Amino acid sequence: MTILIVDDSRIMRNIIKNTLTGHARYANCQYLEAPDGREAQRLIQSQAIDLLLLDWNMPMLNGLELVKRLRADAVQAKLPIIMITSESAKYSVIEAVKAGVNDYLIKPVSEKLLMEKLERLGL
Amino acid sequence: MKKLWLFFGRAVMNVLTGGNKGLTDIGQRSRVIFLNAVTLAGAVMISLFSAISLASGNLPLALACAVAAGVVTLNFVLIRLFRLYLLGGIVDCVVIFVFYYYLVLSGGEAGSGILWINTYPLISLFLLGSGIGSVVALSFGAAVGLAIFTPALNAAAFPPLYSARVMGTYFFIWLFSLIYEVVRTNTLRRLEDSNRHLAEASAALRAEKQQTDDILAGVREGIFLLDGELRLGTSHSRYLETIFQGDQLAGRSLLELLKPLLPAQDYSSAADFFDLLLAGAVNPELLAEINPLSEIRCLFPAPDGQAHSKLLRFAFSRLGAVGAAGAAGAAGTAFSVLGVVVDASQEYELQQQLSVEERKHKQSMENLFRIIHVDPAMMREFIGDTEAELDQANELLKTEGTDREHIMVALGSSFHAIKGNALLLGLEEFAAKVHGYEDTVKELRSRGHSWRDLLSLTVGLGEIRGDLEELNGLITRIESFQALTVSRDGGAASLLQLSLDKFVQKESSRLGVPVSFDFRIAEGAAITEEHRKLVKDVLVQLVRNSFAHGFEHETTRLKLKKNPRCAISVQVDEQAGSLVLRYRDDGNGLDIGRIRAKAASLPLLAGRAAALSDQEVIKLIFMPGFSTARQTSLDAGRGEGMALVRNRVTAAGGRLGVKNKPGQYLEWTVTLPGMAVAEVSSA
Repeated sequence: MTILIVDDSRIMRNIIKNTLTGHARYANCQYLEAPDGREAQRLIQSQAIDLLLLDWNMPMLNGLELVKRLRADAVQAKLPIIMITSESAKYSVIEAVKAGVNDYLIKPVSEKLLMEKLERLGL
Repeated sequence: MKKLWLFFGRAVMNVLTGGNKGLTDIGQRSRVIFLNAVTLAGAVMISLFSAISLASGNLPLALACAVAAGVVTLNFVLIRLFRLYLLGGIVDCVVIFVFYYYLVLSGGEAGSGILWINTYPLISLFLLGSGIGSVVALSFGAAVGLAIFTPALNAAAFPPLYSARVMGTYFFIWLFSLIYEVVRTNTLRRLEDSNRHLAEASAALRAEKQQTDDILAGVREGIFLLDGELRLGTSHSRYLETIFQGDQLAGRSLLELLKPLLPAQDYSSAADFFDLLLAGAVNPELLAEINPLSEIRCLFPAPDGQAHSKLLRFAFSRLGAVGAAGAAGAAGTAFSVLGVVVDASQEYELQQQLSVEERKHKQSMENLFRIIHVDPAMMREFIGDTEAELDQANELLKTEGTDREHIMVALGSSFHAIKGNALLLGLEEFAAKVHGYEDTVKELRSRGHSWRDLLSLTVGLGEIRGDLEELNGLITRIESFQALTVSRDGGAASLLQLSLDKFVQKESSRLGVPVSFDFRIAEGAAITEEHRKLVKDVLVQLVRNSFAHGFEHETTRLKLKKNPRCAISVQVDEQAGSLVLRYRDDGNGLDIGRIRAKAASLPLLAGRAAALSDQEVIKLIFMPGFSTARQTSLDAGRGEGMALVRNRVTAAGGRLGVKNKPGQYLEWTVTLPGMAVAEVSSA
């Protein structure tokens, strides 16, 4: 499985990656990282991704905009996306779900919640 | 005309049913109608025969017909009166049996009497039922056969072959009548059975509907169904009307109902949420998580114009598969969402109350904890002092003609003193509460006040007194344990020293400022009971000021080559009959520049601040409400402390002096008269 972690904070990317690799199920996944939406989009177009863990507020191309672009693209319409962000207001969550994310996590990331949400997506 | 027909029809039915409206059983009803029709027609027909026979001179036949007609007419009347239908049927059958048999025997006109017999099977089977009716009909047939095959009785002289045909015809009519009657009764029975089943089923359905209605009427939740346009269904719990404060909800859109109750952003979130819910693409767990109405405050307009707020909790779930909803949609009942809403306002208020109670409880626990760790005598002293403050405040409130501003200042001072003493013992919750009242006084003084405001403050005084009583109760209980184990050396001074020492240590660890405390009473000097409270109030205040304004940060002290450990010393002396207190801290001293700057920022002093001498500037700190602290906290900032010190000292006839060495130390001297007397009494 190939997991793409997109966040402008390197520390945040590491936290998410380490959280995942701590579980046997995700220890042998291939991890890709991108610091912004544009780089993420380039990676997604160049190779097959199975899961996208995406921040909202990033330079160049923000997470929400990337979700909208991916969902408009027939090839990526089904790519599982979990948005991981500090945008905690309910209307923000609804906006993201409306744009097409499969699930939503509010920072700071709870390991238990992340695992639950991955299981819910069948990953 | 139509009415006339209707009346006529009703009259006929009345005659035919014997006037029995309660006759609903279809089988019985048709039998009764037939019975009445046969009886009536028989009576008319036989009367007619009687008349014809009389006219043709056949007197015996006329007589027989007249008797038969009389019996049948009587039967009709009796049926009408007593409604004994079976009996009426038997009478009819017997009369017709006899009458027809007479016609057969007499032969009639050209042997036509025989023709009548063919109606008998129908009559007997209909009136008496297929069993008994058949027996009677066949008996009649046998009797007729006997008559037409026996030459002596065969008045019409039918040839045997003709008689055989007559009997054959009679037999077939009986057979077909029997078949018809059996089929008819069976069909009727089945019809009645299915009617009964239908009645039972609809009763069961009604009972079920009643249960559902009862649930919907009694449940304390708003339960409702929404169609694809978010319109409410007709079946919803009655409580929904209570929540939305209105009936006639069916058919209205939930979103439209919510629109005037929600802030615009919440409303638009709700609209987006419903789009996602109806689209069915998002999984139910995530939907439940993002539901913006899961706990929402709604503002309902009230008749008095003031909005009334409710805390509502909504939960939604989609019903069935999309395909099923579509199929149901064709039938016009496409409810795609089940919703439940509860009014959690009361629960929320209870929670708020609970947190208040918890705070109270915390205070009690803290009190208990402090009492265990503090000498009960000190606690008692605190209670006594506080009560004295309260009494003083009450006295002031009761004195007529006292200036309101003066009362406010005095109340502020009292609250401040109580707070200081409470902190001295570590009763932080208590102190925080009193701090609140002090805030109120300060606020009232700044914006102006009325007697009503004073009244609200006396409520505060009452509450403090209540807390004191609780403390007193606790102490009494604790004392019963401690009385035997703790030895106390009495004396106001040692007690004062002990409590001040504890206070300094507590403040020192709380604020992270290391302090050494030195308290000395000179030989021959003593703090009398009458001065004890004053001295304590003053010293507590000065200690608090040292921490709040005097002591520099440890790094600053090191830079200034000062001992990193701050020092406070108190020296009590006797001088010419007066008690002299010297309080010194080795802090920064008074920052004249800052006090002057603060004065310059006040409208009252702005113009004069620059021209004031240093001594005059120092005097400013005694002004009630003057403080250089930037923020009000439990530690400082209110500007009441020094005002309190000066007021108390001057009220006792004493004097207050200050020696300020900026950067080195600040020393306060309090001189109180009446020492000589005290010395005598303490000697």
